[in-house]
Amino acid sequence: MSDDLEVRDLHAFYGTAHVLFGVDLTVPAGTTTALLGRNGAGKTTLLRSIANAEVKTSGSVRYGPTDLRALAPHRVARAGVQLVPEDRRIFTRLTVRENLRLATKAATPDRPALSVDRIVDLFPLLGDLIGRAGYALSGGEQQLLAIARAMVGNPSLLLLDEPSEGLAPRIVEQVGEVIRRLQSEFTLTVVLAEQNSHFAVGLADAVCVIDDGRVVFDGSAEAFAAQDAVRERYLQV
Amino acid sequence: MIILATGLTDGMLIFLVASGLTLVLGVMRVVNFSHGGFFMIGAYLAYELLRGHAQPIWVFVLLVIVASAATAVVGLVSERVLFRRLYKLPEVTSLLGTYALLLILEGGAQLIWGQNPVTQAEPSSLVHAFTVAGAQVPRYDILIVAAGVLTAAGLQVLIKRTEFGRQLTAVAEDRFMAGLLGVNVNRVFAATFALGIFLAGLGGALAGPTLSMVPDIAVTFILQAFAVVIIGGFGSIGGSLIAALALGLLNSFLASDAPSLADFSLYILMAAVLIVRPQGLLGSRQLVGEDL
Ligand SMILES: Nc1ncnc2c1ncn2[C@@H]1O[C@H](COP(=O)(O)OP(=O)(O)OP(=O)(O)O)[C@@H](O)[C@H]1O
Ligand SMILES: [Mg+2]
Repeated sequence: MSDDLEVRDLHAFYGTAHVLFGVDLTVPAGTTTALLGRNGAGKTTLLRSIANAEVKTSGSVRYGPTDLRALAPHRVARAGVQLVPEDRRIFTRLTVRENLRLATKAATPDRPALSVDRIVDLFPLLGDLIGRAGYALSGGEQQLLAIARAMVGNPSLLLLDEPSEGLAPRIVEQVGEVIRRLQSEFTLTVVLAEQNSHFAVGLADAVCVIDDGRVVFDGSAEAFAAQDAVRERYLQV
Repeated sequence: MIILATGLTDGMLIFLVASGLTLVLGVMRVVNFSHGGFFMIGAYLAYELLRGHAQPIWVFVLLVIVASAATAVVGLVSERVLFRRLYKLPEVTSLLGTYALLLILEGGAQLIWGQNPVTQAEPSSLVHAFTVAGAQVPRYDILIVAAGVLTAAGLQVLIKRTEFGRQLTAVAEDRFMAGLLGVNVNRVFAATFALGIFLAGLGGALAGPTLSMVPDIAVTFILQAFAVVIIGGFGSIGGSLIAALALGLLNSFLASDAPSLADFSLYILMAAVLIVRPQGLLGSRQLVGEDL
């Protein structure tokens, strides 16, 4: 019941600015790909292009039989795709519980929503914050809520944009544990964009490195580990 | 006492108009100049249904609600045809678009109902005034105040306690994220617009008996309603209520005690509030700073 993500010859544009140039990427069902690249390489743009959100694209983005480029944002969500944006975008005027309940709209009869209880079981920290307003959360709490909120709709494809960004090392570790638990308890296909390659590669089966809107490395996590040249040239190590 | 009653009644009518305006502005970020046009349509539709005659109060209330709902239907059609195209356009274009719709609504009303004033009678049981503390207060005022209180309470419950309210709040803050989470943003827009226009129609239908109806009433409350939206804070229903009542009362006090200043009450209140709180009474700074 789970599907491969296949991106072919993807170009992306913000107005007249051409940002991605013919990106190809395949993420087999149930696996995790770390998407690496330095500042401005195009990681966020690639994730947005996959979710067909706030960017113009050409080329093809297929998730199983579904052409994601043809779908409105809420239909992308109902196709089982969730993007957790880099700025988290918690609704500040809603409580933690309301943020979670809003996301049940992404569920469908064959992918029923996760209950708030189930979410609290997966993210115990949120249990104590359940009535708190979004604006009163710390950065780490917001990140956990953003991932939890994406899980409410029971997605099969999770696009995580720099979940470790701006968090203290101890919190980064917590976020990593949460992602690992989700990988083991759900059949999830994950694209994990990161500048923190150590964090991302530890969670991934495969690695894709982009630079200036082009794929410059694509291979298994083991192959990436052997590629000192790629790491030095395209990433801040 | 009469000053208080008049002020409250005026304030409530302004609130009914302003609440729909602030909803549409807060959720869709569209400044809807045509809002007053829907106020006028509501007044005329109620007049058509009631035939201008005094009716038993329950008939009056029922038909006023039907007229408001019919106004909302006109609103929904214009959302589909016009507003949906405006959300993505620059503000200037969308201002012109809604202004054009105002002119169309006014022109349409002139074709149908003409330029000659028509009047709507009050419900038969509410024609007389009654006496409070030695002053004559029109009974009809009570109906308007009650409608305003019910509307304010209803909106509060709708926004804070229902799933639709949750979606509305989310879309108002971040439509992109709401969409990513599976919320059908276009549907929320359409429903919010219909609700906002229902309130404009309700304001018009209830104001009918207090007005001499000509198509120009489209602009009667709209200036004050805009002021109330600014004073109360964009998108804030509570802020609109407070600001509308304050404006109604100030109007009414100045009209009796300092008539020469009465025409300026709007500006006095607006200046006083905005100097202290540029984002309005209950507005959040954040919303004002955004791409409004
Ligand atoms: N809204 C926009 N309009 C125009 N150009 C943009 C916009 N957003 C991003 N860009 C440009 O697109 C390129 C790719 O940006 P993107 O945000 O995808 O990079 P990134 O890899 O996510 O970077 P970071 O690590 O800083 O998050 C950059 O050159 C950036 O300046
Ligand atoms: Mg980015």
